[in-house]
Amino acid sequence: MNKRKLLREAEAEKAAKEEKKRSRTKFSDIVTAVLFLGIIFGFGIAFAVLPDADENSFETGLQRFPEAAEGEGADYVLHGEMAKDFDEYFCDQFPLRKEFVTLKALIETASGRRINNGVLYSNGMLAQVRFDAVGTPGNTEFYSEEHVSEMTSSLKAELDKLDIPARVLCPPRAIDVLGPMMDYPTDIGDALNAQIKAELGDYYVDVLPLLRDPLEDRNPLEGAAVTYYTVDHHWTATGAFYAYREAVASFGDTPHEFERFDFPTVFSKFSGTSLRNGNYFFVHPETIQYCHYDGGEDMEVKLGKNLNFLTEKEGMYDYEALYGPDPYNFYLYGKTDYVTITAPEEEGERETLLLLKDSFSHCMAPILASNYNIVMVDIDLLTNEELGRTINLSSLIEQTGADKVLIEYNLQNVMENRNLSLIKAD
Amino acid sequence: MVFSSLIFIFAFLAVTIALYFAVPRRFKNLVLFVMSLVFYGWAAPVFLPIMLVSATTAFFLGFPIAKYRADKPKKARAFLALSLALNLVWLLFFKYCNFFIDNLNNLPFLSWLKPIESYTLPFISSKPFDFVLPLGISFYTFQIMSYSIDLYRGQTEVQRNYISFGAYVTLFPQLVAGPIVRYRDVDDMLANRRETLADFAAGARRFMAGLCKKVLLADVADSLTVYFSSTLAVEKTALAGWMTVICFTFRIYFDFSAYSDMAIGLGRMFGFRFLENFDYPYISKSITEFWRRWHISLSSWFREYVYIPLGGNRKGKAKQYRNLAIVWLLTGFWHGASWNFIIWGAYFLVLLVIEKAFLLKWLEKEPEKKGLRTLKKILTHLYSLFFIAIGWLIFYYTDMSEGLRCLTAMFGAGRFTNPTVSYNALLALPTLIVFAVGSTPYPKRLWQRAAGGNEVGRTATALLCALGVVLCMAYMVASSYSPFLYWNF
Repeated sequence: MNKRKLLREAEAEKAAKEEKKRSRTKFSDIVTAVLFLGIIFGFGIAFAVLPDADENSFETGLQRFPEAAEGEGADYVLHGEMAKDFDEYFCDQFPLRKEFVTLKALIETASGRRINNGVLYSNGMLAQVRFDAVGTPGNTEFYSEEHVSEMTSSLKAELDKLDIPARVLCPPRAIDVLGPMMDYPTDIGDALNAQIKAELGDYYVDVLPLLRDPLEDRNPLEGAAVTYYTVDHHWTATGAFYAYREAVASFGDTPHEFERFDFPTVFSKFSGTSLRNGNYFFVHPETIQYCHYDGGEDMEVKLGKNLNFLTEKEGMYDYEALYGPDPYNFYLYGKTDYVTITAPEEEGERETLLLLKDSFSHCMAPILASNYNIVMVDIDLLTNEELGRTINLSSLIEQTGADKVLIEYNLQNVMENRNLSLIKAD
Repeated sequence: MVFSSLIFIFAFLAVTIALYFAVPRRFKNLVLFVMSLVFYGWAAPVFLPIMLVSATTAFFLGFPIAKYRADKPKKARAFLALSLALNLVWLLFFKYCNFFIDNLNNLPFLSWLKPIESYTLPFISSKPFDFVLPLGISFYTFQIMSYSIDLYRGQTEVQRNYISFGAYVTLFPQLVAGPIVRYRDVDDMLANRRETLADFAAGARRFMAGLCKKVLLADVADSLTVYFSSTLAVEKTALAGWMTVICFTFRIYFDFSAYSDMAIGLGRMFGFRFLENFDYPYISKSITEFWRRWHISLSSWFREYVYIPLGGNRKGKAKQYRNLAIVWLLTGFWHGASWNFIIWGAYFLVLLVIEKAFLLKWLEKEPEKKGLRTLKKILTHLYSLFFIAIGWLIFYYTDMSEGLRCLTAMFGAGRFTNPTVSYNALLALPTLIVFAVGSTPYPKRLWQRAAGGNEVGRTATALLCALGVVLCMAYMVASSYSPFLYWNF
């Protein structure tokens, strides 16, 4: 009897233990289910009820609620375009989007993979290092020597036809300048710059060495990176000044001395393309300066479209743009296909420089205006390979009465498109 | 819809779970069926009718197969053949048609044959559709076939409920990339499954773990693979070649096993138990062992429905090798209509035949001395990994000239490296170490040892999984469309 009783007690004890164990298991299961359902329903409901991001928000081009074009509803659904747009809409309008993309950049950085969305983060600086170069599979640091050679030989052949002085200045990419400070190899940028220099010969204004290693005694700013922004792909006003000096000197003219200029700060929260593309929102924004000189305020600025004037502006800088989606539009009102800068009182005495350019010139042209009247023509806006649209350099020279031609096109553009080959002369 | 997308997790899955657990039991399969159709039709609704036609023909032809299988086997066999043909015809057409055209039009008298690039559907859409493979067709075709064959063999009973059969064929957790679920394995679950909190929680944990594997490991491995492979197009360096192959080796494992984890986890949330599809394949010490651990459901399918019916290893060495050859060429061809997949299948056939002939005995024999045993373990492991990785190289490059470029780069056709490749390889090194450790059972074992045995540990596991999901959300929000690799098959 005792044995049976003991056995029963042992069994009851075992059953109680098992029951206890099972009840314990339930607690962790409840925690799992609550966490899982909490996350998916919490964010799902938040997504459904929260309004979409403001169109003028920091991140531009976010997907809005997808809608089919009129009369294309069935095609829109059947071809999967609606699904694609909805996927994008979910990503772009997801609750806490900015915080999540910052978290991703933090994880990438913490895990030692310093490159996020093609942007390198190193020593507190940012620079795009992956490009979509023509003739390569894209998203690498590499470029095609053949493509670059094709661009330079085409351009050189056209410049040979001109009877006025012409120069080509290719601003380096941020990584070419900042590379040594970011412990990043610069062999590719160096090779690209050297190739263009060798192939364009006397036409080429090589600014890379000076921008990478600026004259310290002329630096108005403290810190290592003074010629390029560490949150954007452009050069700073100081970098643009060095390029100005080299460009003017290359024509045999005399650039103004550094002492004539000062660099007032106009904005202290500049989050540039590198910061935004790489989503490194934990990196501090930078300041924007411009290159100020006496008489600069009196310059007459006219903006145009398709080589026709549309509007006259007061001054070379757009202070409102500093608080818009891209503060770099502060310089000369951003991307416009035709801009002139003239000094009215001295108009007859000054030479006219025809500047075929990309966005790097927006910061440099106001400095060049201290020497020349400027006619700026945007290469990317006025050329189109698919449509066979070219820029006729000879007509432009005739139309503007230009005395000199400067083609400014940054290295990234040279390797990523074929627009240089669309500049033609008669 | 991709499992690792925000729209799947926070819209589709949330709605499906809410509906599934809100409706009475008799409507649960209907909810799964309808939601699976939404899941499948989301990105490419034009392919929905193909899947439904396949499922419907197999469903209705199941009745005569079941009816005649005992008394009139010839008639049953005819219906089986018809069912298989009507099912396979879509796969053959969409997957292999252009492959045959591309190869046949090299013949002078067939040069008029042109590959199909697009097709139009009058009255439905004014725009032409690209001629692409319907999502998951290789998987659901095999699943449907398993039903018809099992039915013919008498290994299962006929399914009389179209909704239940439809739910089996279209079940969204494993619809587009497996595991390939045999009908007889879920037959009972379709009618009599019970959902429990324990199963739901276990499924949720598995799903979250799979999501982390996909987003935090597979996608990273993919970007590294693409990067290093891209650099090869510009300059052949041995380091870039090896990095491409190593990163892809990790990528395909994490990607595919992550999908299986998520599929198994989702299934379990809804009361299904799917068989495992992976068992740490990269710890294998032979190619034979690797194939016992890799894509288990596909290997099992071919063994059961092709290799064994052909005679397996029961009719002598010569026939065994013939059967192996058929299975491996079919395996290669199943993965894609491209020569590299056929070569990939042949490559593993050769390795497996060599192992079966003599090497496996040596590989499996353990030396008596402890030091030698360790050395042999390392050597056999390296042997397996080397040949597995070369196999993935063949698999990765559908353009064989690119594959050859990578292969020659790996073995010294160019310089060893350049500064940029070295820099990026160095940056990737910690990630590769994480990949290597992550593809072994050790992290799981360590975690189980540290936290697995008690309630605190299990709760910590849940918290860790939830934290992982939050990290994944950071990547999903900031990422573009990233489908699973096996969706292409």
